[in-house]
Amino acid sequence: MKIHKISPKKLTFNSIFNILKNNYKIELSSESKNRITKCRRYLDDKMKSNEEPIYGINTGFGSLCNHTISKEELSLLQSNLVKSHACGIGDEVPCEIVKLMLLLKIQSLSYGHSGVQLCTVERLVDFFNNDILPVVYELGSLGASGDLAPLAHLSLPLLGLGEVYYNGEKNNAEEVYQKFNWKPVKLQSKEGLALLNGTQFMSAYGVYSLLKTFRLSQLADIISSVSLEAFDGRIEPFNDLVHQIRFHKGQIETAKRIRMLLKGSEIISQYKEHVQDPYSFRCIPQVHGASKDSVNYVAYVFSCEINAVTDNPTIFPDEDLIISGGNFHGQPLALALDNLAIAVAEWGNISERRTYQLLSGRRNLPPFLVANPGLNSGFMIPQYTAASIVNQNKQLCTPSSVDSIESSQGQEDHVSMGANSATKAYKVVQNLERILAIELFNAAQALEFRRPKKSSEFIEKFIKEYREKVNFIENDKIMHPEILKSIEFLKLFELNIPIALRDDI
Amino acid sequence: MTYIVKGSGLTIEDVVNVARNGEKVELHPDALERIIKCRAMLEKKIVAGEIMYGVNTGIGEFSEVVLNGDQVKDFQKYLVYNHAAGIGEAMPLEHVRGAMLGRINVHAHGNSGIRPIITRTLIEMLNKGVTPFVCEKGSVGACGDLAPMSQIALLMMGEGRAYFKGELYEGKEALEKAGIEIPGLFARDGLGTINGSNVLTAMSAIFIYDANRWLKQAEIGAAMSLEALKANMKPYTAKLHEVRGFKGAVRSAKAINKLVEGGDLKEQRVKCKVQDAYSMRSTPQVIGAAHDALAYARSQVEIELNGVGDNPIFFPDENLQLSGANFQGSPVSLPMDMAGAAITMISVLSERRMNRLNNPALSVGLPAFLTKGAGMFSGLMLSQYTADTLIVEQRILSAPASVQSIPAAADQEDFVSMGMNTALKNNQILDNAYGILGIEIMAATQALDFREYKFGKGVTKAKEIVRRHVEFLDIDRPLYDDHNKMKELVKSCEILEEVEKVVGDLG
Repeated sequence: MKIHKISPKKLTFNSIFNILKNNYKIELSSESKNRITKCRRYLDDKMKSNEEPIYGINTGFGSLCNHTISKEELSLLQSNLVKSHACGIGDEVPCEIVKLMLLLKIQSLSYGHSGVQLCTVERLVDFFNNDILPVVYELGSLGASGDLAPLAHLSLPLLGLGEVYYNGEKNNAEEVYQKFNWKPVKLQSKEGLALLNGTQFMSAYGVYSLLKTFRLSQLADIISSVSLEAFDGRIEPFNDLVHQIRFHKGQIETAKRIRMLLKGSEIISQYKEHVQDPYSFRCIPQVHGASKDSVNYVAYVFSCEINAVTDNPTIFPDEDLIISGGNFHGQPLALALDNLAIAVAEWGNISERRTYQLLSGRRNLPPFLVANPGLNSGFMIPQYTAASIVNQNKQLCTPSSVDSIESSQGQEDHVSMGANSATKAYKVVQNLERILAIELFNAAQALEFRRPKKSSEFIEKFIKEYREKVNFIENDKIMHPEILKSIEFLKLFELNIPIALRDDI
Repeated sequence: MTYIVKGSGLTIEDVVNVARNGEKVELHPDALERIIKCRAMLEKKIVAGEIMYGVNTGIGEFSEVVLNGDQVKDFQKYLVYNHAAGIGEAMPLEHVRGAMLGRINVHAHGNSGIRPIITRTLIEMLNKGVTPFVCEKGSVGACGDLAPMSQIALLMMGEGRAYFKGELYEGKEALEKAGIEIPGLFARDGLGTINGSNVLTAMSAIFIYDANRWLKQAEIGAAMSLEALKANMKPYTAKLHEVRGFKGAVRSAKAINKLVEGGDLKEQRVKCKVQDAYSMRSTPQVIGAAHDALAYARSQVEIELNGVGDNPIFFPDENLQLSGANFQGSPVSLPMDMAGAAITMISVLSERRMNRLNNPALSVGLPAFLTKGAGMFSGLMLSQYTADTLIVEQRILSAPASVQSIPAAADQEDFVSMGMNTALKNNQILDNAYGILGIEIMAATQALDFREYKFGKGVTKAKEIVRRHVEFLDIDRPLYDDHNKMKELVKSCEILEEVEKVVGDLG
């Protein structure tokens, strides 16, 4: 059993990837435990000595912040908070994202600025380790005061309330508690807020989408190389000299990668009749690279956020300070997620154009890549599917972050809407996988018309593996299963090429 | 001061100095040498009859058509003619000058293959104030800004039109008046003048410069409103922002603290609420997010300003010419779409604070709509409406342009960046932002006039400057003059400059 220790040490994308992929269990380090208990003790002492109201600790919430709550009612206040905020609705958040939410929440609480009890964090760790995944809904968060509704759903099972998935089945939390012989956690002052205030819904979607995007960015380079070969394109635009004098890192890396992928290809080095290729081929480094640069920026933002305290109010035991600020405000994420959607959409946008070019009947390829013309429509319609997805992506690229709707009687009067940025960025990423699968389906077909000439060792191996799933299309058949198999292939293909990421995330 | 063009080290501030403030420009001798060397290589290849894209072939979809020696010079002329296909209003002079500077910096690398006299002519035009007439619309931001750059290139043949000392002349006349020789266009000179995203990059550079100064004023506006609304100043404690780790938020909290320093609120001599609304309390997180986005955009734009955004490209050391796509505007358009959205976002925040100042339920004792004669007078009620319509326009303009590629040139140019649309709409977003912030600052000043405690040093200075231009609204008067004055005041950055003299740099 592999174990990841939660500590103040930076949580990187790599470690998250490994934790999820290899089903790591997690454990709180002794340093994290000390920080959590120290902060709680400070808060308890403070409550004994302080008469002044402290927001969210002995006051109401939101615009009710000027109501003071008596000491006897503090615990009830916290459980009421969790219950009343569980207002999510819509589709259920996918289990793998809920699991990430748990991990990120635990990490954020472990710094010892939130005032939670150790047993609360430990119960979250139990959930994570036993794959007890609360049912959380997609809609309902404004992305400021953090992700209140989704985090309330994430927290209900701590109180023995709400629903969870366990062993693939949906149960009442209560039933699972019986199985484990657990008692509900009795929330103390401030704890409800610590659980609900935070950006873990947006962050989990963001991290999940980024991890997938890192992979798709590599696949986009590979698949575009197959297309370049199939289109009998030229390699000169990928010459390092061209890119070294423009300095954009993503561009330089992309050109380098394409050269590496095509090294040793017979097709790329054969004589070409045309002096120049269309942009969708020739500008691969500039366009893929621009998206990579953006993704790097987005990854930097998320790297900050998942290692941060996004709770409110925030407690500083060493400085004897409790501050109500706005670290739950999702604006840094909203802006980045909107940008992620745009960057990812661009990979899809240019991919669909390459698919379209492959069907054009140019460069000695048969129109629509039909092997036996006459009765067959060949690859006419998969491009329609790609185009319709590209169009949907464009709709999803309208930013959420420039909107804000005032809430809570004007107290929460500017919100980030980053939760909607997150779910739509996630959709754009899923769509990119589909668009790239369609390009591969086309490009692999087109490449067969270049035979007996061979592409590079890498591309030939890639295509050989693909051909184990999807055959050359001789005569028309139902295309839908072939597209599905292509998507499946992209999900599972083992990638062993260097990634193009910033090294500080 | 003269800016020495070296091909490297060109910053956004340099672009503003040359494009807007008329700083003179000079070519570094090394750069000239590189240009001469590159041209020599190209000429050798022409004589040897080597086929080179855009030098002795057609372009775009016609790249397979080979031209003979006689056709090459005419081709340069026709190339510039048929690409001068823009439409619309005249582009502001500073954008055209910025684009020329960017182009000169590209040439300075010695990879473009143009004759040195082309670069020299562009420099002379900058220094003597001859600025081509360029239409704003028509570039798809790939193969660079072909249409607008062609209107600059027309001048190389003594054609087109240009501004000189405030007048618009025929190109030949403008050059004659300024005493600039007409260089003509020989092989490669045409494409070498037009094939880059220089216009959208220059516009983006200038936008980032202005947007940064606007953001600082958004912090001033926020601080004024915070003081007027008796804000709790604890959320601006540095520690709080350090634990989250975003540089922009740390910077913004610091700026706000500087502005309220020395006032009763900061010194906790005014009673405040336990907790304030987001539009007040989240200011560092929200403005900080915009600072970070602009910092990323700046890094991309400065890379582009100093790179060879041209095509094809010549490498004299390797005796090589390569056709690639370094004109593709995507690396700039992608971050700039975000930069525009960031300005909209901060405008939304500003409007929400203005709403609080107006609304007696939220304003902690200020008179409704900031007028003491409610009923007879409506005070600043309608100022908010104006800000709101400006925001709606900003939101519409915040839909990204960079995802809107439309294939052109018979599918040869089948993916384009649309970065020019990004640059154009960003300018409109910023123009609205001046108005929105101006209205907030006006309302905040009015509100502060109803308060009797001592304000921070920065806030006090800002208030003083506003009152130089707009009087206290004692009895209702037509508001549009005040609005327009405030918009101009924010645009002029007078408040910013005066405040920074008192409290130091805001970031």
